[in-house]
Amino acid sequence: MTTRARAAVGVSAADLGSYQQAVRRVLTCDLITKERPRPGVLDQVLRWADEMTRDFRELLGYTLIATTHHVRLVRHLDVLDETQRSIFSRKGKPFDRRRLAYLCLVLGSFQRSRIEISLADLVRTFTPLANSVGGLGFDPAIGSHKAAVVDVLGWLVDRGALRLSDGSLEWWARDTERGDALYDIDHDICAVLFKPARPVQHLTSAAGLVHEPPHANPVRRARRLLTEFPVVYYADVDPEVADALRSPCLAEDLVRFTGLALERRAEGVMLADPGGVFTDRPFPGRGNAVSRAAGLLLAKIADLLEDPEHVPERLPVPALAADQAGLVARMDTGLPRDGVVSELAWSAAEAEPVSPGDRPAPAEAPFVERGRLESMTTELYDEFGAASFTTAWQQDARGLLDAVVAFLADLMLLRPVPGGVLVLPAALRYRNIRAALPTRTSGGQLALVALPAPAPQKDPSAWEHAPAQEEER
Amino acid sequence: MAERRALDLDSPAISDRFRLFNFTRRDDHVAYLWVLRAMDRLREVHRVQVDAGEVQGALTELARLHDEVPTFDGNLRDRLDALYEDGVVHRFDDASRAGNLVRYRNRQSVYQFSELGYWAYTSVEGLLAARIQDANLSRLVFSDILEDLKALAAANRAGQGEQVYRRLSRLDSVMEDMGRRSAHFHVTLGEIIRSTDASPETFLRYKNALLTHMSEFMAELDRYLPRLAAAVRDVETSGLASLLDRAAAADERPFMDRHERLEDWRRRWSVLRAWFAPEGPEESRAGELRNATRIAVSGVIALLRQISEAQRGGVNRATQLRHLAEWVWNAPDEGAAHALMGAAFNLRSARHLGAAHEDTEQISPRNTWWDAPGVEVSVTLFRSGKAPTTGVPTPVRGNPGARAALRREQAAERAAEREAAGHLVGMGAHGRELDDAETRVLLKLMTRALEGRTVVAGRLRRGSGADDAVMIRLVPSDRGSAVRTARGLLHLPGFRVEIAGRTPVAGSRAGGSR
Repeated sequence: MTTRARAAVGVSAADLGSYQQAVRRVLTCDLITKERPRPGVLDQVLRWADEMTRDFRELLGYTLIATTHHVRLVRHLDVLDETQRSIFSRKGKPFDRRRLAYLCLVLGSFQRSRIEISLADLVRTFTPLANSVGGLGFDPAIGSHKAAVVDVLGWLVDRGALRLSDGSLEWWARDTERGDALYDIDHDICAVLFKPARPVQHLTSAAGLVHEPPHANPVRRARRLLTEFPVVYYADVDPEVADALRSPCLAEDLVRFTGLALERRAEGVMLADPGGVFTDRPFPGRGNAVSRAAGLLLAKIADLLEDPEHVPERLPVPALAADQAGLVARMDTGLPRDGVVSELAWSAAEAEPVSPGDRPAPAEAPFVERGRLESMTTELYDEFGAASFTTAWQQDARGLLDAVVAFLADLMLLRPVPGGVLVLPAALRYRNIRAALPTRTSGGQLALVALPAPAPQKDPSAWEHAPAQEEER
Repeated sequence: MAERRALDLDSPAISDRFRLFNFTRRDDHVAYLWVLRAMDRLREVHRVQVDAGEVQGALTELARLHDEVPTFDGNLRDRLDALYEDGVVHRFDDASRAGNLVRYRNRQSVYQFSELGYWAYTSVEGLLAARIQDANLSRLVFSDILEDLKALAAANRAGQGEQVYRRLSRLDSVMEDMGRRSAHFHVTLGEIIRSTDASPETFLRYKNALLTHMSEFMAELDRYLPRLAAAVRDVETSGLASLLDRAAAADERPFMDRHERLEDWRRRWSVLRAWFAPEGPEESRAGELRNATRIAVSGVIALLRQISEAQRGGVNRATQLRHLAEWVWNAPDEGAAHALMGAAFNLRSARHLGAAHEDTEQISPRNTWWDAPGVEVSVTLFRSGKAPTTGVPTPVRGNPGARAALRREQAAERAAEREAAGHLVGMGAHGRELDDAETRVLLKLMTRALEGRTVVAGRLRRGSGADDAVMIRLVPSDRGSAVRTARGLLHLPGFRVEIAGRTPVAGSRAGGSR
């Protein structure tokens, strides 16, 4: 590695914490404005704008756009990611395709020469646009269409792209004829929100949305993977990137940059977040049913894997690159070819064929069948009481299991495969959650006292003692 | 002037005249227009009354020059009759004798433009001929206005009635022209800005000239505005009433009486005044025009940016976003749609796993996650579904009852003390037995007095001490003194106690310190 200034050089030791917090904010919040995510954050972040801009550029190749009104990180994307659904979501619900399409159309219909727009006018310009997209359309008489517009405008208002100056959106949603709302348009924010790597209309494939061919600059790529993703397994990345990841100096820079704790193991490396907020998928979360069930399921899986009587089947982990290719192919099926400006079209560089000997042998991971996962969930419902998984999931153990598996897959702890899941190595770092499971009578550990069948609501207190001791062990 | 005359028409007359434009609303209005053009062409060569055949001939001639001339398959007569119904043309029957029924029925009609019909036609043509190229802000007009205003003031002072009238009516028409032009310009500009998606080339070709034109106009306006305002005031100081009077007198409109003419001129003058020298706080109309121009300049610049952005990539944001909307909508599943949006907008969030080892150094990086110990996780969180807390913070107890009791106690104590002090002041400390409360007060005061007294040349001088109600003085005395209390006798060797109320303190202290 070249001799290069370390991260956060100009920052004194006393200020490092504040600097790292600002970095984490920028990496997790899509757009920071005076009100978003909270008043006061913008000032905290702007204090470090110059240092951060330099570090982001040198370490990761990112561009930080910082003005006195907003801060936005323009990333250098290496992969397409279908799990980032919390960005385009509102009140915890990810947008469906209709909302996503509406968002594009609404954002595209703000003319530079207009500084404000009423909802009625907006709908007037937006409706023909929506109707011109086959099957999309907008009809104010259809409630779901209106709800989609409401969510889209809410999303824009949250980010400060629109500012309500009169009327109200709810009024319009109730009564399209008479209700109206007047919005100021912040064109700077509108412009800064949409930052594709290449003009979208020049693309003949979704692969063009990624910035550079995957083999360029492995060191920065390694840093980006470590900064953006929960775990990086050496087996998933190219050999050059894996080498870069093994370099101690790379990790040290990132630890100083983000303030996270480095965890290096034989299978891979990760930055662990002791604070638990430097993420869009908090785990272990704070009282969220899915994240709690996810932890308990990991505990059950750890139990199973350590059961001497159970010999897990080990299967090769499918390569992430194959997943990417599949995702790109899926995205490309939707590409409207008519809209592509073919004269200037970008086409993917010929992917150099990877010789089979080049790639490391795919790692193997223990396989847990779907049926077993379902019985684990049933056990959890029996042991903890269905009601403790909140009313939303009380009657829907399968649904919770699906949500949990998807959640753990997003965290790169499980890998769904046909018929079940593969348990990825980092999942085992949460094995201590087993202490939360009630004392088992099997698995070689005999309960000293056979507990009388406890009433469901007393469950937690009845188990208070034994697991606590176990935890301290 | 024409506009004002129009105000006199009553509504039936207006609807009659509006009927003249009916042809523009018919299904094939373009065909009607060409018929009228053919008739106008004939009229130019003094063929005022024409029949359908001649019109057809003129149309054929026109068709040689213009591709868009429609063909009339025998229904030209119907068109001409329709125009007759609208009143655009007059229809005259051919006066020559037919002789038999067939010929009578096929008898030709001849057509001629009606006077008003011709006006309607020319105004439609005028409208069609209007081009944005005509639009301009007349910046050269300011010097004319200034000159006219000066001449007006001079003529008024000299009492030249006709000159006053001439100048004033010229000003009037110039102002009208200026108002119309600026309105025209801004409307046109607005239209260019709105319709630029269709023809950015026109705009780009003229952008520099346009911006120069507007900024020159603003500069000129800035330069002339104070001078024009001064000139208007100068005219008014030359006598506004006589000015209007003279103008009305020289005005030759016969259908208005003098009073109406005066009123008319007064109104015109106030309009002129509002342009350059308004009364009150509101902006003059020239100022408004300047503001509008300034806003228009920024609009043009914004448009320029938009167009150049579009031209750079061959696409602009709006078309890209539309394209993306279609792409997203056609995505096979939500995952692909979100992947697409996230990548196209370049929006995502970092994601990390929570909980870390306290001492990372102790675990070898060569260990696998299988072998390495697990991280410390709050078990309560998973057992109960609730995050562990350090316990509910205890509420701050407001204890008004106890506080009030303490306060009462304190107040009672103070009252007792004050009463005892009162007794001491009233009866003195000597020659009687003091009760406990009085003794407490006395001892307290004596403590202060003893702390405060001074030693001068080995001899104790007298000291004094006081609280807010009582003042005690220890006066040196050879015999000393004793105070009898309920608990026994208090000997004070070398001192005598004097006690006084606080009010006369100033005087007694003055005496004491001497």
